Amino acid sequence: MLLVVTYAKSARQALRNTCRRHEETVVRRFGRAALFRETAFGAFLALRLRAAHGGDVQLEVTEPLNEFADVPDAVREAAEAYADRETASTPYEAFAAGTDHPDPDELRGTEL
Amino acid sequence: MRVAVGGREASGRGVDLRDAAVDADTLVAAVRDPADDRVRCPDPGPAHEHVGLVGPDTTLSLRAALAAAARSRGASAPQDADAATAAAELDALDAPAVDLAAARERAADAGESVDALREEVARLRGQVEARREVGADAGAAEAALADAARRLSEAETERVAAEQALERARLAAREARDERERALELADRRDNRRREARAHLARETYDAFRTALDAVPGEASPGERPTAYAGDDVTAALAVARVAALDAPVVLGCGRFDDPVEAAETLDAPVLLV
Repeated sequence: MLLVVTYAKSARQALRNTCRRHEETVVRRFGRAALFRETAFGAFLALRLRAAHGGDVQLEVTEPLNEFADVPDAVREAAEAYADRETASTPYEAFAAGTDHPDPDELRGTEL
Repeated sequence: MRVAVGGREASGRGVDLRDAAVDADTLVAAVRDPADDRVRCPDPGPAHEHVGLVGPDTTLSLRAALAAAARSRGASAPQDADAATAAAELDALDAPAVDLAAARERAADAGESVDALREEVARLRGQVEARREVGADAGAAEAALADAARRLSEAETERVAAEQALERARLAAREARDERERALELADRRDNRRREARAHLARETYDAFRTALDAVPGEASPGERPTAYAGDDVTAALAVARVAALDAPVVLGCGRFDDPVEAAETLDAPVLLV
């Protein structure tokens, strides 16, 4: 999908107007951002906003994350294990210490 | 107030210009322009913007006009300080503009060049091999292949450079957008506080407005709060003018007054009747 994020009042208002007029192309709206369908018309609407509001309109292409394909197994397993921890107040760093789970710095330094 | 316009010269709190060759818009512009000597008067205060001209088709944002009337009488709102703080922080913020279009276009062009040259190199390589297989002279084809391979190598270097430049520009843009996001939050905070201040001031002034409605020509039913007002905008504008402290003259073209002096007394403000 196309992610449209606005950074000025005028751009945000224009995005709201676009979303109201083109519900069929807007997949989701969040405040000053929205997701458009990845069609040529979605791109047309997004680029029209950028043409009018320049750098106050950020455009990205999103794709769904498949945690079984796109993420190392260790990361997925660590997340599941941490969500299932016994003591809610344990920070992840302490949770991972002395286990096979990756430590937070290692996670931060690893690009997907 | 001294007036010299449309062949007339006059002074006083209430001046009748219905016979003068001048229209209401010209007059109100002259009132608001300190350099315009046709109407010499004190500076119009905050309320003049809303009720400085009352014509037959006047429209009014009652809440904003009442808030301006309250301000003209020196009132302030509890939200003023926060609105001013947000406005000052916003002014102090230097949110840089973000423009990555040139970097994006360079990266895209570089990618296309590489793709095109790869195809050309593959085609020329095929030609060289075909000529060798049939024992023909491959010299010219080999030279063309070498040239294309050199251009491909250059294009690949450019693509790497363009992608790195785009990545750097994106990182810089992320920081600039943090600032712009902050600016947007401050602008929202400032505007929300100002709106709340207007609502507060309008409520605080509403009793005085209701009283003023009884004194001005026109019928209206004010209700208990600004949103409950039922009546025409001209009547509301006249009552707001009576409530407001107006040092500059109100231009009245609404046809509800015959006597400029009486109008000035009713509105408790200098008046130009047109």
